[in-house]
Amino acid sequence: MRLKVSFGARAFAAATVLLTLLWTPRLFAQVASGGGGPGSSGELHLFVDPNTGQLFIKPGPGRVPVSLPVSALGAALAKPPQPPAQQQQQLQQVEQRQQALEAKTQKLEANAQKTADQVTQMVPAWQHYVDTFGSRMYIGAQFWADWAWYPHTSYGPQLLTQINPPGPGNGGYNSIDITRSYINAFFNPTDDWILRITPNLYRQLGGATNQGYGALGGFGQTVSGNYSWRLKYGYMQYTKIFQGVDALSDDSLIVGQQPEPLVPWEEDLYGFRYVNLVTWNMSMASTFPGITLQGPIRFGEQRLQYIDYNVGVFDEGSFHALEQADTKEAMARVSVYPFGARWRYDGLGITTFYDWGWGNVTPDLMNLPADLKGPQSEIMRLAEIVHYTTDTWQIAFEYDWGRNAWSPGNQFSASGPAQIFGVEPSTEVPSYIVLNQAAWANLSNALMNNGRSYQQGLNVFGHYVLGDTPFTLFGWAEQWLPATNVKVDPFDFIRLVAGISYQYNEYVRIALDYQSILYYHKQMAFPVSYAQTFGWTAPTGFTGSTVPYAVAPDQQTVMLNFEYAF
Amino acid sequence: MRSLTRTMGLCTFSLALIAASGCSTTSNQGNAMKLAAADPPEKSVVAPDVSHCALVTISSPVLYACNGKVYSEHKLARLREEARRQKAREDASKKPATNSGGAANGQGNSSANANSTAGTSASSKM
Repeated sequence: MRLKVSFGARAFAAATVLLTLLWTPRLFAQVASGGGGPGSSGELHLFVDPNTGQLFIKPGPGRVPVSLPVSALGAALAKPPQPPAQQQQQLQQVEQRQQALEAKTQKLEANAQKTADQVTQMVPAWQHYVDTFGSRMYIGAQFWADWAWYPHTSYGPQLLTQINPPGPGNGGYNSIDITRSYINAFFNPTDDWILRITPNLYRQLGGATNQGYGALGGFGQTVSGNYSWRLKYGYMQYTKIFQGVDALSDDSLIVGQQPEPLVPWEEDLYGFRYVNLVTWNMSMASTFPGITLQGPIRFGEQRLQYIDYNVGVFDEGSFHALEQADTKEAMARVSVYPFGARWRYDGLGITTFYDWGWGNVTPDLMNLPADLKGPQSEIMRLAEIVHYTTDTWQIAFEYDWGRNAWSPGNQFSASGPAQIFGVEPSTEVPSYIVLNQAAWANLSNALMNNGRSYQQGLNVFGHYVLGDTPFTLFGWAEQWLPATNVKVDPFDFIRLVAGISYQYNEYVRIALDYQSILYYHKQMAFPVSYAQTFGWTAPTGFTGSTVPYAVAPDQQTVMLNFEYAF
Repeated sequence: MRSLTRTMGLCTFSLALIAASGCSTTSNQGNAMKLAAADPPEKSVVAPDVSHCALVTISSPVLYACNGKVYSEHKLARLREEARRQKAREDASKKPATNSGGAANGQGNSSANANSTAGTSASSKM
C-alpha cells in the first residue's frame, strides 16, 4: 500500500496511524516491539524508501527503518501547518484583489443605478421647451372691423387707417372694412429682454401698373386694393436699464420699429382707437424705427407714478416709408401726475409732447436752392394735454401746434382731388369743373405745403360709463386749422365723433357712432392774388381771378365698429 | 349711484361677516363660533366688471385698471368665471337647506311650500 506524500495526505495518514495506535494498544505494542526503539510508547517505527520518499509500515526491499517521536507527530497534528511566508503574501494579495474587485463592483452597480435613475428622470429638450413655452412667449391678436355708411361724402382725412371713401357726390357709399389685424408675438426667454414682432394688415393701394407679358400679351396689376401684411412692430426691449434705481425700475430701453411717444399713448388714454384716430395720428404715423428710453418714475411707499416719459430718436420716414434723409427726428413726451397715479393714467395728468424733424428727402434734394422748401422743410409738432381719468370716465383737453406738419397728403388722406395725386380726372367730367378743381388742388398745395405753414388744433375728448351698464358714451371734438397764417383758410374743419360703446366681455367691444368732417367756413371764392402770395400757380388754361368753391362739402358718416383684442 | 350700490353691498357684506363670526348679540354665540370653526365661509371672489374699469393699454393682452389695480383681460375673465361658479355653488347649497329646515319645523305655510317647490325643482335638475 502506497501513500501520496503531499503534505495534506501525509498529515492525514499520520493522523490515521496515530489514532489507530492510540486506540489499538495491541497493534501499537506490536509495532513498537517490532521496532525495538527507545520506548514502546515514545516512538513510531516506520520504513522509508529513500529513493521515493514513501513511508511504509512494513519493511521491504530498499526500505530503511525510521523512528518518529509520537509527541512530535501529536504536536504536528494538533497545530495546523503554517503556509510559507510567500504563500501567505500571495493569499493576502488575492484577498486584497478580491476586496478591491468587490468594491469596484459595488461602485459600478451604484453608478448603473444612478444612470438608470437619470435616464428615468431625463426630460427631452423639446419637452422642456413645451413646458416653459407659456412663460417665455405670448401670442396675442387684435382685430378691428367696421361697417361705414356715408350719407354725404367729401374730400378729407381718413377717419380710420386705410379706409378711403370716395369724394363729393357719392352719398350712400358704404363699406365693410378691416382696419387692424395684428398678430402680437412677445418673446421673453430671459427676464431682462423682450422681443416683439407684430405683423399688421393694411390695404395696399396704388403704385402698380399693368404689365406686359411676352411679345403680344400682358396682365393686370393685382396688388392695388388687396389686404396685405406688413411689419408694424419689431423691436427689442431691455427692461433692466435702470436696475437698482428704485424710482426707475420699470423703465425700458427699446430699439427697433416701435410705437412713437404720443399717438399710441393718447389712443390708450382715449380708449376708442377702434372707432377713430387721435388728432396727431392724422399727421404722423404711430410707429417709427428708432431708439427710445421710456417708463414711469415712481416715488414714495406706495410707489405712485408722478412722471411718465418717452424720449427717443427716430427715422424721418415712418414704418411705412423708406428712410431717405440724413437727419433724424427727435420726439419726447412727458406726462406729469401732480397727485401721483396708481396706474398709467390715474387722476389728473398734464402731458407735453414735442416732435422735431425734417422732410424725408435725400440730402442732395434737400440741398437744392428753393424759395419755399415744401416737403423738405423743418417739421415741428407740439401737444399740450390736460387729462383726468377714473375707472368709469375720462376727459381731456388738448392744444396742438405744428409747423409744416400738415400737407395735402394729410388733408386728403381718405380721398382728394385727382390733381393732388397727379392723376387726370375722368374725361366725362365737364372741363370747367376739372379746371376749377385743378386750381383748388393747387390752392391746397400752396397753403399747406409751402414750407412756412403753421397748424393749430383744439380738442376735447373723453368717455363716460352709463351707470352700472356695460354701455359707454364717448366722443371727440376737434377744430383743426391746417394753415393758421391764412386769413380765412377754406380747408379749416371740425371733426366730430360721438357714439356709444357696448362692452360685451373682456375681449369684445362694439360701438355705434357718428363721425363727420365739417368744413365750417361759408362757401367762398379764394382770391388768386392772395393765393399767389403762398406760391399758388394757375393750372394751364385757368384765367379766373378767384378759385371758386374753395370750401369742400361736409362729410357725414355712421359707423358700426367692432373690436376683438386678445 | 354706483358708489351707493357699492356702499350698500359693503354694508351687507359687513353684516354677513359679523353674523358669521359670532359677534352678534344673540344668545347662541357659542354655536355660531363653533359653526364658523367647523365650516368656514367660502372666501369671496372679487371680480371687477371690465365695463367699469379703465383701459390701460390696448396691447396683448389688453390691460385694465379697476379700483387702482391693473388686471389683464384674461385675469378679469377668470375672476368673473370664478365668481359665477361660486355664486352657483352658494345658490345650490342654499336651496336644499331651506327646504329641509322647513320640513323639520313642520312649517306648512305658503312660504315654506314655495321653498319646497324650489328645492324639488333644483334637485330634479341636478
